[in-house]
Amino acid sequence: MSYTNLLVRLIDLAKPFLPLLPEIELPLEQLTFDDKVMYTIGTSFLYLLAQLPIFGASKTTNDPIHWLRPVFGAEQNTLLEFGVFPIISSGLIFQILSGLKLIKINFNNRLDRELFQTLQKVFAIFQYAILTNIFLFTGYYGYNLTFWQYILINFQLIGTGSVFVFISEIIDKGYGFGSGSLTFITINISANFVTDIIALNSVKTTRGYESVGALVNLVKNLRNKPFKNAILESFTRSYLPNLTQVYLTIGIVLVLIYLQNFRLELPIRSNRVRSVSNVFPIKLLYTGSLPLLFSYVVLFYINILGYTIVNLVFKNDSNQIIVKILGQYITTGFNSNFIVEKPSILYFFSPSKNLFESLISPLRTIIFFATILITSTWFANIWSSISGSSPKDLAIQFKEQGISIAGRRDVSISKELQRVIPVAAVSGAAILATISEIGELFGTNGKSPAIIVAVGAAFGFLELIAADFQQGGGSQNFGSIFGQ
Amino acid sequence: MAGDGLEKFTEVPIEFFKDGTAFVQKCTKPDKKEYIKIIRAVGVGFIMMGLVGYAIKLIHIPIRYLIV
Repeated sequence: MSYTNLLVRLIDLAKPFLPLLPEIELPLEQLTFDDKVMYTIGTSFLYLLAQLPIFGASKTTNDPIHWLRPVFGAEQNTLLEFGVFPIISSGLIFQILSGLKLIKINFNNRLDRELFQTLQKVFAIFQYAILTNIFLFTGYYGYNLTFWQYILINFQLIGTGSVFVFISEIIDKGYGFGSGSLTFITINISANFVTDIIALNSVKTTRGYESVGALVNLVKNLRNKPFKNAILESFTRSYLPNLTQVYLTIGIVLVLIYLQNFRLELPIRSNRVRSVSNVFPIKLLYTGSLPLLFSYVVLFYINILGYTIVNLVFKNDSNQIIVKILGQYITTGFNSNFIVEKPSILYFFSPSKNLFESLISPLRTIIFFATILITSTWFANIWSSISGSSPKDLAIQFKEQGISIAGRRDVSISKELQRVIPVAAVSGAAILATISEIGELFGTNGKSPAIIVAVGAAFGFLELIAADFQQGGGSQNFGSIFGQ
Repeated sequence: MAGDGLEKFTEVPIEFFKDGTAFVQKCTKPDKKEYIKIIRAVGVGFIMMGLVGYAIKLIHIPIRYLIV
């Protein structure tokens, strides 16, 4: 078939880039636990330090992707304008393509593996370049920029993006715990979470200076305003973090931790040693928070595509029929967010600003929720069968270790796992999507999916750290912190 | 047979919902001790990371004024 032939050659596209892009070598020997901790902490600090303002932009308004930023660790008007979105999306897309056998890769062949990795990196950097130029040419950084301003902004954003493509590869290749881009997202979200609660700095608003931190704001309000107003305002202000969001976030974290330990325990027994039986846990959140992340990748693509068509091709002109169908962007007051407010395609693919809005336009709430739910569950279903812990792989592992499920014959192990794992993965993804949407109903503007992704990733790290810690022994410096 | 098509369309999600709820009901849930232990581990880690991150963000505020 010509269709597959076309895609077979997709990895060969990366061939010219192979000598150009450096590749991180796998560590020669297993790194010690302390080294891994140092690499992880060091790289995440780099990520936070890189949030420097962009030099050379003349305008700092009209943010069309403000509600997508938290999930991808992106900070407005900084070098990390797009966060790790290009890295994550590139990784997920290519893993799905190869998992569904749309790209044929022989993972036993070193060159094929290298080409596959290079292709992911090239596509990530390419996306940084495309996004930067979309934002430049739609006037995000101001109109009438000089030639040098274009070059300078391109250089800054693509340069930072490329650097983080490689830094995240360092972690991915086993110098740290788990995935690099997830590490960055987690540290960024936790920093923002603390900032939302206790940030001391204040910002000028229409009502005078107000503290950014929700808790600080409450204390300040209690001292300056009548009691009732103070409480009400701390819970409802819409332009800065409010206490409703903080409590919602904490609530989501608590629920997630509870769900994280839901597991179906399959009774297993060893074939070699008689009368030794144990349990093998199948977690409800089998694919962790990746499905939700994937949903937001899809939403990001939909919104950036719409934004480009509306603003680049049709100059956001409301007389054009396409703009009417897709949705006209309007700048909101204080935060200068660029949003679609009239019912149109893009309107349905973005979350509501607050609870009131979600209630008066239920159709939008339903469509937005359905999008997340469908993409999440689809992804969870696929991912549970293509990732390293798919039913087939597990069955092979079981066989190698001489383990069988109690009361089943050897042949039916794979079948039994096949029956349980996809159900777990999809139910887990559906539950996470629902929790995220409950948060979004209240207008958390992307913070509830972000905290779900962060906590999910944090659990992943915790498991890896625990496993590593048990292997490495408890005598090391950082190890002693985790010892109970 | 439009009715058949529609039935099939709703059958899959409903089937799935049944499977999912059955799975959740069969799950072992964490007990209180386990739950509190994990909350402590995740909470401490999260807040520690967050505080350090916030400290770094504080450094950025004067830099922002210098550059822009």
